[in-house]
Amino acid sequence: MKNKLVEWTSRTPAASWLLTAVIASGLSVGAAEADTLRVIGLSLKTIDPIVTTSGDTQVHGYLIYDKLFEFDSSSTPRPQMADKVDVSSDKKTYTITLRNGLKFSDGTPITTDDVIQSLRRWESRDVTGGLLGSRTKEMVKVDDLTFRIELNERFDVPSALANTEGNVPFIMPKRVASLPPTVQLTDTTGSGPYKFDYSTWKPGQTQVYTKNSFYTSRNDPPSYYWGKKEATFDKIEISDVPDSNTAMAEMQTGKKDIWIWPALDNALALRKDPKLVVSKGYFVQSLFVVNHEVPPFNNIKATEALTYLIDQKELMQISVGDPQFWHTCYAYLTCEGKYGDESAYSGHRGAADYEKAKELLKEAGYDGKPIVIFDQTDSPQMHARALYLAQQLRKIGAQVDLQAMDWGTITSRRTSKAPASEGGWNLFGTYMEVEPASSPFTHLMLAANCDKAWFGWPCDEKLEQLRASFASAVDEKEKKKVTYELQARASAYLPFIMTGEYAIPTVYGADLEGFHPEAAYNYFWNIRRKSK
Amino acid sequence: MTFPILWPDTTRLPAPARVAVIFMLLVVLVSYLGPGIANLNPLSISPELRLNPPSSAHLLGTDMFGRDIFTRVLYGGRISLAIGLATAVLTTTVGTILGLFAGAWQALDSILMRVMDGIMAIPGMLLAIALATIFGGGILTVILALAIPEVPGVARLVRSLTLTLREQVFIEAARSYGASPLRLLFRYILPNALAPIVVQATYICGLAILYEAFLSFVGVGVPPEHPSWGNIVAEGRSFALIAPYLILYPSLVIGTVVLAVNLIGDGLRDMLDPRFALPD
Amino acid sequence: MIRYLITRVLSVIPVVGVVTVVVFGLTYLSPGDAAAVLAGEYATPAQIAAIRESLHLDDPLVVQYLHWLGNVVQGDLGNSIFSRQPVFSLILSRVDPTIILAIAATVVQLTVALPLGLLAAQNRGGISDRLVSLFGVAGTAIPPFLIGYVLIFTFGVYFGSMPVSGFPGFDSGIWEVLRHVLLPATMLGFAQTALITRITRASAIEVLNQDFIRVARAKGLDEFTILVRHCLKLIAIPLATVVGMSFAGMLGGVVITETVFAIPGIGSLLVEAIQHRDVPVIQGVLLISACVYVMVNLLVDLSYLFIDPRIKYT
Repeated sequence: MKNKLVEWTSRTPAASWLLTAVIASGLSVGAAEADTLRVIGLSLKTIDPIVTTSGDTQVHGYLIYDKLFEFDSSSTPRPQMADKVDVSSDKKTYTITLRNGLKFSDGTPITTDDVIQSLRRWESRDVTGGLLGSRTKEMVKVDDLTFRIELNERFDVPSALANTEGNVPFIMPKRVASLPPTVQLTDTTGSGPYKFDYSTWKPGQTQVYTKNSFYTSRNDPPSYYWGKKEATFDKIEISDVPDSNTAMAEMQTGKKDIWIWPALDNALALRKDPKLVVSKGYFVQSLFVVNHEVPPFNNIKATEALTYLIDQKELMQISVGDPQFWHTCYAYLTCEGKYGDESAYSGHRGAADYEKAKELLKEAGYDGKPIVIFDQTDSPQMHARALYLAQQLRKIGAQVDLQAMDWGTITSRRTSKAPASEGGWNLFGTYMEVEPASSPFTHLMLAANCDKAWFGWPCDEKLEQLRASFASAVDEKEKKKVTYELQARASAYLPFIMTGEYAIPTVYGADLEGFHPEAAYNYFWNIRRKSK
Repeated sequence: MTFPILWPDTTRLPAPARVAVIFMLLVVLVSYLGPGIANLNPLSISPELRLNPPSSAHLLGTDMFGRDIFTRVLYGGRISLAIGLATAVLTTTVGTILGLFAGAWQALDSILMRVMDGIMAIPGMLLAIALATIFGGGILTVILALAIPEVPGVARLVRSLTLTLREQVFIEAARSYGASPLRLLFRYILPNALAPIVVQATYICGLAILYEAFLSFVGVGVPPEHPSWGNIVAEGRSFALIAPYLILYPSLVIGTVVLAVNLIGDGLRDMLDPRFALPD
Repeated sequence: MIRYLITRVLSVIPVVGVVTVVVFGLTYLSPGDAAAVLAGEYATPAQIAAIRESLHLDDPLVVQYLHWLGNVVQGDLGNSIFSRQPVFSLILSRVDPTIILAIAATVVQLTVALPLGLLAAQNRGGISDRLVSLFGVAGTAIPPFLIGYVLIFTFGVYFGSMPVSGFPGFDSGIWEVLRHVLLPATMLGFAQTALITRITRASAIEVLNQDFIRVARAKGLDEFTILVRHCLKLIAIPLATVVGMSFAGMLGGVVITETVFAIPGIGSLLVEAIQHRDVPVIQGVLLISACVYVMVNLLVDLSYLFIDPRIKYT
């Protein structure tokens, strides 16, 4: 019967036609193909970097837009699209001149009209941008290449314009920057080294970038985000591979070049592969957000009880595992940044002290009602932390309502200020990249301006005063002093609970050079294959 | 008038189905009694036991939170079996009532059946996912989400059975004695339609156990606070290549149980109503 | 026959009508204020009110439904809450991989199930029959993701020869497309393959017992010709029915298959929509899938007329 089937196949014209077609088309593959950089791990759903602070969109932004200033590897803001900047002696006027001959990807020249409009749009949405906006008296166009920012109060304008966090001050054409953020962006004309192919974009799945021939790069040797941005690969293809096993297989067989934001355990398992590099990438400060508005954590004693329950070491072991990729940290401004200082922290450290925690919770007047914890199940790290917190709370007899949901649901539910029993919440875990978390300006969860603060709404006048004095501080010594006091105050007020720091690794092919896995928002210029 | 379902002749149950029945009894017994006797906790996490492969201390290994997989599979059985059973009961109850009424009253029939056709036209898995997503996580939601897409199938079956049975002589006789329509439906027609309904319920039970895993897989299943076979697999999913035991054993348990339930369904069908039997 | 054709085609209308009601009902029943969700995190109450009005959310339910239906008929399924793109064009941009995947899975099903089923029927009671029957029963019970991971491990890692993610454009050649689709199609078609094997076997056994087959055998026709010429023809109708029905199973199955193999199709679109509670997208996927399913079954029904011209419909 078997032979008969073969015979049948060969007898049937349709089957043989299909076979020939398959073989023929197979042969046509292998013709010279331009080298493509294949990146996985991103899921681009919104292309407007001013509408969302989502990391996927920021990475997209860095490919197709450029900025006036960029940070170099020493965290100093350096002029990128700007040619030079003149600061008045009172440090209240910044005159910025653009480099000559800059063009958008459609070939039109970039002028200060575009720049001013882009900055205005950014100021209307971003935290840092908002700070700059509120301290700006006027933004004046001098000529097509020069404009002036006049301030009411001193402010570090280049640092703000080099900002890599929140919404990034990318430079867009004026017509795009004039759109209200509610309008869906379809014009992706940009100012960066790559062009975005809107027509082949499959939101959330794949996007393709090609070289922007109108881009003129700086020629300074690249240093972190700053300097030369050369579109070394003609084409960059970024896609999302939601299943980490599949992603692993694609990396192991060399079908993809870079895997950013991989699932931690899968990335660690790839360390055995000599063809791949598993880099620590960048660190994040992991934390529990506390809802200061509703009982029991509207009482500082209850929040303090949490610090006695959480053993950072245990928590990191269970959520991250390999000790190379995490460390404990008791500095509110992180153990990685220049202002972080663990000695400012006066609270509980180390192993859990259940008796003390129980006592504090009792003093806080905890009434035995279930404590609502959002359990983010789409990230194993977050999920582990929620499970740990629930287990610890249960150990001291607290009632816990562990509510499983994905991050999307958390973003909609976290806005509720209702008591936990009425659809509100008490605690959820999240993290902040160490870079923004190292500065009191950009640390979202350190802002303690009550209703205007991030979810959890910490409300503390002293913290706010210290943050304001940081914004006005100009020299480093003063900044150090302010940040120490600020961290000491935070350890008394507990705006959130620190749970240690861990690495978000990056996996990439050992054949690549010029790639910087340590950037929280990766960029893909200046990357080459070693063999070429 | 015979009620084969009420006094089944078990000797006519085919051998595979008998094995399956014994297997299922064991599974139920172990799921409901096992954890209590061994006093194990499926939720307790422990950092030092993270991702341990199967050993004598942990028969099926431990997961990324150091929880014992074997214990979790035992507990998961309670939830998964309960979901399968509840979905089957809910679906067949609602479907049977709708089908009986549709078969009995012409006026109701056309409306009801058009609605059923409409629901049936939406691929069941997609409808279940949509329902589970929109109404949020929870065991009850999962049961509802799994049951609703299956109701039309049962309703159709029962409707056609009712239409056939209505014409039977004994029904005519009952009617001529003045039995009320409702009494006719529930006292005379239903018992005679019971056999195929029970067979259908068995298949739905198996399907629900499998679909529960699908829902967990896409992230809208039973919340992980209550281990179910589906969410055990879903939680271990990203470890399929690193620690295959995390999903292999729970998946095999799902597969074996669904197979057993289906075999029981086949067996019941052959035993109760040989007309529907596939040749073996 | 013309009359049958017309009534059969028209019978689609009430079904699709009910589908629209069910799908519309989902949004209406979904908790939370759709306008607030659409407006985003920083919206003011005035903005939310404006969106409410623009979406006619304050109108009576029937008016809302008719309005929505009017838009749907014109191909406007609303906008995605998250990407703000029109749902219809989102679905359109994702439809190719899913169609190719479904066709490939059907081909896989038939190329595996038909020979297996026929083989088993012919060797009824033999070892091959027992093995095939076991596959027929067990195949539907194995969770498909397990199949998927086994395929990925075997062909994607161990042999390393097959691509296990993504879907290349058609411009990269039919070979590339086939290579990318083979493993996912195997996973997607697995359960249905088992089912179709069972049906093929059962129907073939029935046919092989009939008199004319005995006559054919007596005439000295070889078994292969009997199976392919006579038997296949007669079991075509039950097969067409099952293949049509299995389409619904596949439309559900693509959700998991496309997630595992990172295929940018309708299934992965749905999963992304789930993650953001993007109700308009969920609705759109449901509606389109249901329409496709209805159409496929219509085609299957109509195909009976061609498979067996003796069937007369009046």
